[in-house]
Parts: sequence; structure tokens; C-alpha cells
Amino acid sequence: MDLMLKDKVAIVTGGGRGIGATTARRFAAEGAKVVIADIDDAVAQTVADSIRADGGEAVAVAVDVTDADGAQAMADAAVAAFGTVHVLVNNAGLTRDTRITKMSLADWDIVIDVILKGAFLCSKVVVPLMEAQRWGRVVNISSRAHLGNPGQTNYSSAKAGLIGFTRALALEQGRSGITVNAVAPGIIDTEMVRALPHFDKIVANAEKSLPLQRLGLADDVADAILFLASERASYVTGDVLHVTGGRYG
Amino acid sequence: MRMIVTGAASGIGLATATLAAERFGDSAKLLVVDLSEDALGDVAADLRARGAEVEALAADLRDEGVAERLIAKSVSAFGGLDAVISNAGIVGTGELATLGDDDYARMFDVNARPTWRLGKAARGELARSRGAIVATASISSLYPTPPLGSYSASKAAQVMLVQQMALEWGPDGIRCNCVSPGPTYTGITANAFNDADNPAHVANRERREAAIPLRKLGQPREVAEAILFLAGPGASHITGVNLVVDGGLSIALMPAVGGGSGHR
Repeated sequence: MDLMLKDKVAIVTGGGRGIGATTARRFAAEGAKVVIADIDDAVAQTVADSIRADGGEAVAVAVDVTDADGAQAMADAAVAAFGTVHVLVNNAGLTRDTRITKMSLADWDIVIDVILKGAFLCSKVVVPLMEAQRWGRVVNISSRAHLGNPGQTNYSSAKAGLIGFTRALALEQGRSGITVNAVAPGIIDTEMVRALPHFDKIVANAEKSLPLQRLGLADDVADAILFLASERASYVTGDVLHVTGGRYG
Repeated sequence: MRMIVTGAASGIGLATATLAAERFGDSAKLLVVDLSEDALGDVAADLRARGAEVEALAADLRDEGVAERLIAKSVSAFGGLDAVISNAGIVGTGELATLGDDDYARMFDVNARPTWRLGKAARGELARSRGAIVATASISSLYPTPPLGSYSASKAAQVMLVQQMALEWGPDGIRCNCVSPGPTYTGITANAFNDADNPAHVANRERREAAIPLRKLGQPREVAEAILFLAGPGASHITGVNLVVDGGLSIALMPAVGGGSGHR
């Protein structure tokens, strides 16, 4: 599929695993130059190595997206390697699920910080590069959980916050030729979801209750991200694209 | 890609058929549908010149039996069906306080019911191909837009109809989605802002552009891109969505172009 992403430079945060790693590989397969940013240097290197082994261009950057200096260093590394940044996928995220009465302040803070502050800090340093070339794509990975999931007051809040962030940034940056959109995946078959104690029940429930009767794949989410990052979505901004197999509420 | 496109003689429908012909070449098998045989003749010839296999059929989608006829035609000509693009639509102005019954009914008869009828008739074939339905709604499906009361309501009906179909027919492997364009250069907008030599049109266009975050009106091709994305394998886990293609207008300043408040 030619999405005209060849030689575009894409940063994928949380690019070492799951949806991020798949998305990074898919960008590379389209001929894009990819910066795999992850707090875990080893997994980021592994993804970058595998992309280069397949003939693609990629660099790995270790980054804590909640740290302003780290975010700046990530953008600098992208510029040093590839000259600029065209696409930013704010994908880094994590869960700390528990009912509110048992949720510690640390559980709340880390989820809000990585997902929301991380998107803010990474966008803040990358948007100037996009403004300068009057072309940019920011794709924020929200979640169907933005509608509210029990046991996820922290995660649901962060993912809902990311939608407000998406729309505000879309309004601010439209005139600079930058589109900003969110993808809201449902239940996706990733390491993070497989690690849940009730994974088997989740699969059974998805097969029974989702209109499309299967768990989503990381590739399904990457398809949506690549579309929004491409020239094909040139008039789409401020949108939230659900990749859920038909589940909303 | 075996595809039916309604409202294919102009605007977003024409752009969708054209883009499909360009992208899929000789594997594009297109049944183009519109009211007028004359207009369709040129469209079919143009699409064939781009390498597509084309059937053209003039029909009024308000007539009973038309949906079944279209599906039968696609099956006899192409051996099946992968996507239905339910795009035909009309715009109608008028305040609800004075709108007549006939005008109201016409809006729903053209803008909403054909999508249900086409879906119902195509269901067996689309289940076989694990195909998709994409319907054209409008940002007026999300935001009340004076003086388009019955139009907005019919487009909102279109969206919920498609979401209901997504829920009911998902287990058959059929995906059903909408696109909601904002102001786009099409026949429907010809009286509002297409004429670059008309000062009123230019003023109208500039006022709209200023209110749109991306600072430009939409091209039919940009909406067609979203339609083909939703119709194709890249959207294989996407169903029941309403993909807004409006340059950000609906989250920005709808009041500035005469819209009210709303949520999406």
C-alpha cells in the first residue's frame, strides 16, 4: 500500500512493544524513517535492529516521556538522525488498575503523567519542527476506555484527557498544516492485555459480545494510525477514530 | 474491489468511483448509480478509460425494488460485491416551523432509507465477501445547522441506522461505517461558494475558510479517501464509526458559519 509516507520521519513513543512496535514496523515498511522511543532501551533497540535487518531505517532512543529534558533529547536525536520530524505518534502508556478505594496517589500519578503529560511534552518539542515545514501529523493513542472502565479511573481519565488535548491542539495547529487526531482502540491482543489475570475471560467475552466477534490486533490499530498519518487523511483533524470491532459503551 | 456507488455522477460519489478506478485499476469493478442516464454515460466512459470495469444504472433510490436490482446487477456483472457506498443525498433548506410534510419525508426518503434498503438487499453478498457498507452522512448529523432542520435530522438518522446495522450484521462479518464531510466543493454547495467569479460566493468561502482549523474547504477527493479507507482491509476492525472529514470545523466555530451547539 503506497501511503506516500516514504522518507517521512516518524517518532513512535512506547515504540518498543505492542501497538507501538507494530506501528513502527509498519511505518518502516512504507519507507518512513522511524524513531523508536521507549523507556526500555533494550526493547527499543530490538525493534530498531529488526527494522534495519529488513532494510528499513530506524533509530532507538531511550526516553522517559514524563521528563521535559528527555522529550527534548528525543526530538534532538530524531533531528540528528533524520533532519526533522513529520509524524509523532503519542503511544506511550501504561495501566495501574484498581478500584478507587485501593488506588494510591502513585498509581494515579504515573498513569496520568505517562499518558497525558507525556503527550504534552513530546508534542511541545516536535510541533515547532512541523510548523517550520508547514506539514505535520500528530496521532494520539487514546482508548475506548475514555468512555469509562471500572477499575481504571486513572487510565480512563488520562485517555479522555488525551481526546481534549487532541482537539485543542488540532484547533491551535490547523493553520500550520498540522493535523492532530486520536485513535481509540478497544481490546487489542497485546502483551499488556495478555498479562491481565482474566485474559481468557476477555477473549471469550469479545468473541461473544463484540459485533465483529474477535479481539483487535496491533496491526488493526496500526492501519488506522498510518491512514491518519498519511496524505490520504489530509482533511481529517480533531477526530477520534475508534478501532474497537464495534464496541463503544 | 467490487463496489456499488450511489450518487456517482458528481461530487463525493464521482470522486470515490474515480479514486477506486485509479487505485485498483483493472481490479476495480464499479456499478455507478445516479438519477440521470446522460450524466452516468460520461462517468462510465471516464472510469473505463482509467482501467476499471464499469456498469452504470440510472435509478431513483426512492423506488421499491431498486436496491435488489442493484445487488443483482453487481452479482451478474462482477460475480459478487465487496462494498456498498451509499452516498446519494440531497440538501433541503427550510425552517421546521413552516416545513411541509412532503419536504420532510423527501429528505428521509433520499438521505436515509436507501442505506437501509441497500444494506438489507446486499447483506447476503456482503456476508459472503466479508464486505463493507460506507454511507455518507454530514457534520450536520452531529450539529444542528440552520436552516437545514430536516436535512440534519435525516443525516443523524443515517448515522444511527448505520451503527445499528454495524451491531446487527457484525457477526455476519459485515462492517458498516459513515463519513461526515464538512463543507466540500460539490454540486450541493454550487449555489453557496463554488463560483470564484461571484463576490458573494467568494465572501462566503472566505468566511468559512477562516472558521476551519485547516483553513480550506474540503475537496471531494479528500472525503473519497476516507470512504475507501473504511471500505477496505485497513479498516478491518473498524465498524459503527462516523469518521468526520471536515478540516476540524465541527470542533471549532460552528456558530461562526451559522451552526448551533452540539456534541460528538
